[in-house]
Amino acid sequence: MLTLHRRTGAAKDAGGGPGAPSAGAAIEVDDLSVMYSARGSGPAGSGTLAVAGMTFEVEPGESVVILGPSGCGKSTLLKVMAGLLEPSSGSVAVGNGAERIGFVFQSDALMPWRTAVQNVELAVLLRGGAPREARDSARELMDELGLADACDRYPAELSGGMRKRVSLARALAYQPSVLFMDEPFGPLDAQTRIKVGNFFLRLIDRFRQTVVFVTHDIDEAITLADRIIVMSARPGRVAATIPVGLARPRDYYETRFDDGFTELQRAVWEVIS
Amino acid sequence: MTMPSTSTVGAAPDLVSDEVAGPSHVQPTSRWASAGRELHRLAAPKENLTRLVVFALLMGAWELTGRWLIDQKWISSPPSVGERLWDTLRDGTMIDNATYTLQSAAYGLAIGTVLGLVGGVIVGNAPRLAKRALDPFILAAWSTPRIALAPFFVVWFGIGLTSKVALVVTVVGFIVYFNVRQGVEEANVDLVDAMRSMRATRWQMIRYLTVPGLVTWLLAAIRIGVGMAVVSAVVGEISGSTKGLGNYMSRSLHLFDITGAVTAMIVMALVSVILYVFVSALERRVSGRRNATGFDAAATTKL
Repeated sequence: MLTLHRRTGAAKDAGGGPGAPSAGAAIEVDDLSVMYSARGSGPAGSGTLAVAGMTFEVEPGESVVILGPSGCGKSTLLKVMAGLLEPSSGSVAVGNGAERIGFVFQSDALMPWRTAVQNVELAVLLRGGAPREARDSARELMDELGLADACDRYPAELSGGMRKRVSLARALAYQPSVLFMDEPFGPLDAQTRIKVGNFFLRLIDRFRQTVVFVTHDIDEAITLADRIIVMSARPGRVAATIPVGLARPRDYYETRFDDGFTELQRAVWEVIS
Repeated sequence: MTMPSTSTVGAAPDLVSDEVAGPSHVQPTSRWASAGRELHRLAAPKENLTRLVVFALLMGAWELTGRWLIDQKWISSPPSVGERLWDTLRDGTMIDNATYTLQSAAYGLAIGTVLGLVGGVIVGNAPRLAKRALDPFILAAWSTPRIALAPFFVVWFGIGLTSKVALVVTVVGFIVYFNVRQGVEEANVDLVDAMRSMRATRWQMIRYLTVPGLVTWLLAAIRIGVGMAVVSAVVGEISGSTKGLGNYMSRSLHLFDITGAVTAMIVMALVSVILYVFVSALERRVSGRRNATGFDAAATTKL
């Protein structure tokens, strides 16, 4: 039994009860700016503007990819959206404010002293699960994600692709309503990337998570997104919003041969250059 | 015209993959088994055969050197040392001395670890300014040859156990201090963020991240510290003592009893190896089969 929050129309239907999430967007980013201040200096004044006045929304169940060149502030933006960094001005609202989020890092961010399954268990414990439930549901989830063989191995004993999938499993074990992904497939080689990419596509096809995915790879962005938000170079602003209407389910590799993919590539490229 | 795609089937998604790193014959093991594996690795039959050959060659070279090149009264010989080892083990002399040395090393290791841990945690969390102010003094103290301190400790603490323990503490304490401090300062930012993204409380952060993270660094430090502890204890004993392997060695040398001195040295090496294997196994068990992150520069200690 795998229970994950499904951010579909269900939330809207159930609306009206006390504490129910508002029927609007899953995430609202309003005029968000982030300033990096030099260490030791005052909070205001001198500093580098990483993100400048970004406004956009993410619908429940939608996959939004934030695409931009290196150093445009897209990772910073994602961390602010996930509540890991404070914005300098503007605001971010994720659901009703009490939503659980999953964050997948460019590094795997697995604890090297815990086995794969223990890393997943931790997510269950942190969402308030009892130790017994953590043990059972972590193993079940690993099983279901084809990671049964990896359970009792330490991260150092797993390949990069396996670690990435364990790190995805941990994010899912937390039962998040929104998944934030910070260039998670960047460090993988091309072949592993396709494997793990497909793994991830199957997951979102299945659970219809709300996903915010950051990448600098145009093809990856088109393959994964319902909508691409193209960011300008630093300071990051919304340069364009491009809807991606390609049919689902998609394939991390094959989708690039679909009708319309080339046009999307061209559209994105025109905005970037 | 369309290529058959393996994964766009509408049925149950195939999430199963065959990709597993490492040799497939390795079975999932418990943490205890990894400790056993460490010992097993040292006892692997193939390596042991090679080791035996190397040992025999070394002994042979030693014996032949004593016969043809250098008078055996200067370098002793394998049979004499073997005989002495047997005798002193039987009459308990070597056991007593080894125990004494182990005692100074173990006490010093324990106290040095605690002091280094406390110091490393405090300085690691200290404000930048305080660190910059302190660092030159810490480095100066670290760079002082500890062998120069040994006579001071004998004057201050007497020729008993205390002076040796003090010397071991000054060596082990720094090794642990540097490791723990590095562990505190380099707390993996992504791991901290991962915990924060899952709304970990302060207590959960300490329990699941800070403490286990430190244990790893601490054990790496102790692994290095073990060897240094024995060395320091022996140095202390040479400087002034009535017991211990260092004392046995220097006493033998004063009497031109080369065989006795060499025997003591061999026992020291054995004691260090045994301690090292024990701590390595412990480290692997506690910190998992991750790659050890040792502050290995600390192994090149000045004494």
